[in-house]
Amino acid sequence: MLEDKLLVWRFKHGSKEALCHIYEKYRDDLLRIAAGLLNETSAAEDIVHDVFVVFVRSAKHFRLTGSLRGYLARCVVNRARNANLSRQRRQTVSMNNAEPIALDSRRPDQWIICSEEFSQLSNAMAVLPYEQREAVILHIQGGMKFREIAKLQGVSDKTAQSRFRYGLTKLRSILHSEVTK
Amino acid sequence: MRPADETRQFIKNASINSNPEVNEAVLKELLNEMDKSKSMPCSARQPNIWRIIMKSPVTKLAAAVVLIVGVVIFSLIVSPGVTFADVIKPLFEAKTFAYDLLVGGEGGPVARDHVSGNRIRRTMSTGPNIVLIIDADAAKLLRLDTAGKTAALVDIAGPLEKHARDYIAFVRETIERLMADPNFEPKEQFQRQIDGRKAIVYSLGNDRERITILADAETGALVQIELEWGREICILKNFEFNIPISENQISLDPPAGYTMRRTQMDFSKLSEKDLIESLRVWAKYLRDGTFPPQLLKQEYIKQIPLFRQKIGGLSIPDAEKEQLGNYFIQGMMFIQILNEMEWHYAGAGVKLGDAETAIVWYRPEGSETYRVIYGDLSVKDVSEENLPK
Repeated sequence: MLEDKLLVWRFKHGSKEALCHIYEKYRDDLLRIAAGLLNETSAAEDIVHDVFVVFVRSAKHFRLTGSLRGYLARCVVNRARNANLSRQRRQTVSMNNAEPIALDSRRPDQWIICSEEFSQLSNAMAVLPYEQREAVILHIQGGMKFREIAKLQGVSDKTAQSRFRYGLTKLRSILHSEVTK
Repeated sequence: MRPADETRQFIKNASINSNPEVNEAVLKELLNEMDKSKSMPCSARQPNIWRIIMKSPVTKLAAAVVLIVGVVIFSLIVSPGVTFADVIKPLFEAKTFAYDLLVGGEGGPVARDHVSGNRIRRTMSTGPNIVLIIDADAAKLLRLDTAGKTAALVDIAGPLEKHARDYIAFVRETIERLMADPNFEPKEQFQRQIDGRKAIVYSLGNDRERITILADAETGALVQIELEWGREICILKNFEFNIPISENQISLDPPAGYTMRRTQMDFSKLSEKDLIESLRVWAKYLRDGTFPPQLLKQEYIKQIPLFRQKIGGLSIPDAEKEQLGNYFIQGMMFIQILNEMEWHYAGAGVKLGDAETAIVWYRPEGSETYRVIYGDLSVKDVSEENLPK
């Protein structure tokens, strides 16, 4: 926490080294969250890229009140939601009811390289309602507390916990059925 | 069915990697963006340059060359210039550190602190056989006498004085507080020669609390930190960062073979009486019946060896010697309270017993009148117009 405050302060005062440090420290976590939320690597990559670009552009006015990791994760979540909504509008079939989308095959400019487990997880995640997916990803991969997730989703702590629990149960069932196929 | 824990573990372990070439391309774009942001207002959203660059195999190769050159240039840009952020970086990032603490500035008593987490191991020039191990969070202090093989575990009641806890933590807190101000812009203010080398000087804070940080003008290495609050001053120097500090060095359990006793220091109820009794110790035991030239904490600390010699030689019970010790230390701590108020010392050379001469006066917070202590150690409430001139 203290290290992040110092990093942000140095970054605000023009330290390129601090920006490199922040980028190296949080890049992969953010990519993982974005990919988990969107089940589409290119969209996830664009979101993380944009989050970092906006972060750099807003350096002068940026004020860190909580954790840097939490702040960047929230930026990713908000953008992922927007991306998900616009995708829903574009498609006649909503994402929540869509067939699992396989993570796109390796492109030459691909930033995210998924492990087999991640692809499997991502496909299973795609079946979950978006709010449940968000709760599972943010709690387990983003390390967020239910209180933080509830705030982000605009619901009570209990609802956030329920979304997590239902999501996890459903995931368990999907993953199990894949194993037993 | 997979148990819930197993599913959680599966999610946790499901990993991704990032393509190193793209990582570099994005970073380079961010660094360029940073340069642009310094000179321009927020520009409109631009396309993802990294994606365009990385599309074609030819430009990909060219990009790789540019990136390598970019990295080289980048390291040239960031390394030679000393910035305030570079100077203070080890203060925030080191896990352990050691420094010399000069109480009262150059020429004052020197302590060497080894700090790891909330524990401090302190040795002092005024007591070569004494080692103090302080647990700042638990408010405990282990005092080891390495010559006499005795140990005393002290429970400290009341808040540990902020500057005495861990000086680096105090410096960090102050810098953090200043950093919260968006207009805070520390700049090299002037240069100073110190120990034969040129140092750049950053001075932060206000008249009540000031931190002066000196760094090597060439390397940016931290050379010295000067802390001033009220009339007190101390200097931190000869820093070492991330040094090995073993558990044994900072353990509150005394080494084998030491005789242990337990005692208490109560700083929660410091009062005027502590100051008065410490002044009595000064005049009666440490000087020729007169009060000290200055009333500063560092003057107290300087006199510790003399105190030990004089009080240790008295033919009085040990409990009374300990009581005198407590008065002396608590009187010193009371000066910290005085520093928060308007106060004055005029006792230099005044004889103990002189009922006519005021030696200390201070105005307690919210009080209309001053508390005035006289040479006979009596106290009166006096209005401002009747204070000694």
